[in-house]
Amino acid sequence: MDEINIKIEIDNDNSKVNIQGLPDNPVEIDFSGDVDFTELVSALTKLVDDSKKVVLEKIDSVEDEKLKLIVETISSIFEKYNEAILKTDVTDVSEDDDLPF
Amino acid sequence: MGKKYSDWLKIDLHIHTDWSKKTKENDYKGNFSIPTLKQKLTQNGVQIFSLTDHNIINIDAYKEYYEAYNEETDPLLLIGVELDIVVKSGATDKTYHSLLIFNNPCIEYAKDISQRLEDKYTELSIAEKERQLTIAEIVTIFPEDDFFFIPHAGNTKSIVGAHKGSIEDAQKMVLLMQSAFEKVPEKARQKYNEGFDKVLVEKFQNKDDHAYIEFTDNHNIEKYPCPNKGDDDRTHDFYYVKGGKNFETLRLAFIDPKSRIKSTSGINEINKISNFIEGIIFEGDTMLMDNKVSFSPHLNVLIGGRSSGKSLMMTILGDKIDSITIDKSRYRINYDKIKIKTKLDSNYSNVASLQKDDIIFITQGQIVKYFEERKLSDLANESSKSEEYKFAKSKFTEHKRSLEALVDELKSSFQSCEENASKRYVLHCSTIDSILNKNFILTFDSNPILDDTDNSKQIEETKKIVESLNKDVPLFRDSKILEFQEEEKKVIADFIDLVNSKREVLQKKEDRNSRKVSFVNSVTEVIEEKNKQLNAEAQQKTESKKLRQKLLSDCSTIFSNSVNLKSACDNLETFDYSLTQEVEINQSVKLVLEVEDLVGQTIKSSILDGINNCENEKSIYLNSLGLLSSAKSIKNYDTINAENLEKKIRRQLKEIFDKLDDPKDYLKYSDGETSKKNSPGYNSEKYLEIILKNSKSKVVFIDQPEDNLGNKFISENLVEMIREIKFQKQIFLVTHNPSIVVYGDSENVIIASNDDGRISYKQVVLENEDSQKDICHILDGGEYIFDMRAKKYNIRRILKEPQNG
Repeated sequence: MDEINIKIEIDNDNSKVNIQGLPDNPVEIDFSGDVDFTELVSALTKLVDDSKKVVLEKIDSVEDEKLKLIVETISSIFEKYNEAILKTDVTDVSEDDDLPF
Repeated sequence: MGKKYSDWLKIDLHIHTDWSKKTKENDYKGNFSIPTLKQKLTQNGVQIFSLTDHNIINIDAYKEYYEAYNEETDPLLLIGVELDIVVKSGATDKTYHSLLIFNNPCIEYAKDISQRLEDKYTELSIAEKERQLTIAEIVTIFPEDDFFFIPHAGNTKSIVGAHKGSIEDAQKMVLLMQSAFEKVPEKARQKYNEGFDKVLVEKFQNKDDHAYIEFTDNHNIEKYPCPNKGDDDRTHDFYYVKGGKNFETLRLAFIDPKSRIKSTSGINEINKISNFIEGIIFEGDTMLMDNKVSFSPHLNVLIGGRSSGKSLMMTILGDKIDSITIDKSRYRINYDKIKIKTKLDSNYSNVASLQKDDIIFITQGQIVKYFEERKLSDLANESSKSEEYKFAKSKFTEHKRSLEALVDELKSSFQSCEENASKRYVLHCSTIDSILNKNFILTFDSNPILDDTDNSKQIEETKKIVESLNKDVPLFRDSKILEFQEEEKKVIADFIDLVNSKREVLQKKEDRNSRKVSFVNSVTEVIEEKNKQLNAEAQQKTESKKLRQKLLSDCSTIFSNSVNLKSACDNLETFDYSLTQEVEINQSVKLVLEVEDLVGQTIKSSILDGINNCENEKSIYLNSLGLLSSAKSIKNYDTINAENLEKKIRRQLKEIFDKLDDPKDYLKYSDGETSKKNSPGYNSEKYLEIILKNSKSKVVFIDQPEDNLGNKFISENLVEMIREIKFQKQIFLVTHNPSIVVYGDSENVIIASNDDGRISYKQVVLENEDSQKDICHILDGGEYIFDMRAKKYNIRRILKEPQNG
């Protein structure tokens, strides 16, 4: 299975988290107020068709509580994505069912 | 042997013999002989003729002809003469020529006529070549004789020229003598008719029934049928009279020339009738006398007393024509003993083949029944249009269902609105404050992503199609009835492979879709879990945001429901419940099924009538909102709900539903008129008129057309119509009405009689005087009609004599 390496960069000056490595433009998450993940999930949903696993590069430790929660959430989202991708292929099951015995 | 009905006979009443040379200088060319005459007449098919020399009767020729006369095969020779008639007009006398054609064709009478004529000339001391007589003298010679007066009325020796200055006298004379004009060019006849109309009382004007006829005026038998001596290349177009070889045929022809005199072109026109029923043979049935009845291609009437077998004949004819279905159970006869023949058939057989569209067959009382009992569906059935009628009717059922579906739609959408109507749409200040507090929360909106990516619905629909194909295509392949060829089987096998490959594609797509949806839902859970790690105020903010989202969602639902309710109300309000369907009965008549708009009653007004405090100027939708807010109520219902509203609407629209169940029917005639609002009698007349004038029909059968028709219609319209169409199509009528028989100038009168259960048919013709008596005996008023017909010009008024004079 192909893999995509994803890198997270934190821009404290502009209160942005940049997620790089996704096929389209990098996704930016603004953390100046409420933090919305819709754009990130939308980008990942498109990747489901390619069945590519995402691998998140290790991130340096983050002190800020808010940023810490954000990075954890991003990490959880990637995990959920990979879980979805790695689910057993339904087609194969269906073919097994069609076996004459 | 001649035909048993009135047929067309070629006639030439103006043939000279060489005796004309005795009275006119050089007035004959070549040799005249009776054998040559007979040969020429036979060759040309002439059946009635006369030898009309100038002021003399060739008694030798008459004697020779009558002595060898064979009544069956030879042309009938009527006694005739061409007289020079003088009109005293001041200082100068003017003469004109006129034929006198006498009744009683026999040599004794010819001698008598000749003798009286010769005696008169002798008495007046007139030399042979100067012979002429006045009308008064002619009357004294032939005071009681039965003869026709046929004057020249063209360019030379014309009665018109001779009477110049007193033309009215000539006109009256011709009218009084019930005779005909000879030598009037066709283009001049209209002018002559107008002249006659001037001397007739109004009632007798514009009838166009003055007799014009043309003969050869042959003076050279060897070149017969040339006109005159045959010195130029002119040819003669023969005239025909309808009837038999008798003098009475001429009388009727001159009384009714429109029906009984035709030129060659006129005959060619009526001979265009391609097929007609020639005859019927009864042989060996116990109830019917053995007989052969022949039919005219024109008007055949069946007359007779009660239960004499008139309608039986119609039933027999109906049974014998393959395209007619008829109830023949009424008569206990053996139909197999009856044979029929059409003109195109070579022999008599059990059945005649005629196209259904060529025939109009109307049984007794059938027409008026349609209108009196409002049984136009019967008319459709009897016209073999029952399927079309059912189809047209089904359109009204469909229309009603459409209306019912709109009522259901309104009920359903009202119900949806009703569920939200009691809800409150509130966002508290504390909720807003919470949303605006400075604590952050994590957010994620799955809706736009799922809207974009979730294809579950389309996948499910496609799956059903593919599964259906997967199941049905092998059944299709294995069908024995379709008898697939190898190549076709290969196409099917390829298709099955294609379906299977697409099944796999679909399975993969479903799998991916499921992964996407699963992923998006799991993110929602992640976000919710992470938010739980935040402080109490932040969590409150999360809840407040959910409340706001719920408010938006509820608002969206109520607006969506309102849009649906408006659409349902508008659809109902604008539904056009009127509907018209037409079933073509024949080319001239359409049966119309119709639900018309009820005056002043629309769907909207009907529905609003069922709402208390309704606002008529506003739409059903706005009034429905009034119901939802309880500002209005449903009449006679305590509770406002969708179910009660539906019941009320159905009650309010009941009249419309009932009309769609039973649409009004009527006939639409080809002239644009309809049977609506007219009496059964009027409609019967109209229907009859329309079907008779249907140009496509070729044979018409009507059993007692006079039933329920007004006398005025019969005498003024029906008879005229019959006279007009009978030369275009064959007509069979059963009738008790003498006007139809006599004024209709039937070519064939079939008298039915029932002698102690044994039925027989006798054929007679109007030109036979004995037959006229038979007809008068059967038809009430027949004598009067014959008399009136003979006196067509109201002669007394022409002469200005007192009525009782």
